[in-house]
Amino acid sequence: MQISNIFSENLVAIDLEVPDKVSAISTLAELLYKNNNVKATYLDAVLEREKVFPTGLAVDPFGVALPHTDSVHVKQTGIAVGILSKSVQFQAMDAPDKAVEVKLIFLIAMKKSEMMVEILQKLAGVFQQSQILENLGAVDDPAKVIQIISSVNSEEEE
Amino acid sequence: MRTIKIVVFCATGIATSTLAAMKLEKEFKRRGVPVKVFKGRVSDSTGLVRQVKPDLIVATAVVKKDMGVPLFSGVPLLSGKGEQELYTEIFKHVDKVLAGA
Repeated sequence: MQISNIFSENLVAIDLEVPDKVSAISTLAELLYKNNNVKATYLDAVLEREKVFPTGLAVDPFGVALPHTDSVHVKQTGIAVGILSKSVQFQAMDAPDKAVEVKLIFLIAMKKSEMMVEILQKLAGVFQQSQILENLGAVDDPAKVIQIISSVNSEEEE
Repeated sequence: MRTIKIVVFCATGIATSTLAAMKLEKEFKRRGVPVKVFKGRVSDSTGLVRQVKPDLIVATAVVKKDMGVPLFSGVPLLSGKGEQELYTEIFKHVDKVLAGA
């Protein structure tokens, strides 16, 4: 799988202003749905999974969340990227009682669950570098989001 | 030196646990400590722990039950934040295990 192909300008939302994580996920899921990446069942499945297995990661300078769900709800692999103008609260992956202020969301739709490892490595290359996150937080053009993400190596390649 | 046994849990036993297992194997190798890493789903944790009898557990999702084995959050292996601190804690425990063995 060529990982850069799973990002697309159609799947990027910048300056996203939403009251909470459910609205954030819903907005991004709509992008995936319109782009024919996911089935109609995808959104509810993601929201349900997020309740049981939250995906917030407390990294610097702002939190990142990686909501996703089972591949049965996916038509073709894609990742919607949301950059929020104001953070919303997600729960921490390892501690659901801990809130994480999230400003960057990768809503992941993978056709095969084994792809998730490679996707995570790619995304880890992004969210483990605070400078990259700073740059993403400041973009004014969806095309730049793709540019920045494409320029980052996967975590294991560093 | 005996081999340290670790069970890594995540929600599905596929993604974050694989990543965490790779990081752990690399760090154990770097320190020259033999390790065997097992992966599993949180929902199967009790059975796997009983079967493997690990020296420690690393989890990237919530493990509610106390299984009588030291439990470490594996999220730093994914986020990169607090990764070195996590290794310090893990190897403190590993040293104790090896000293007692």
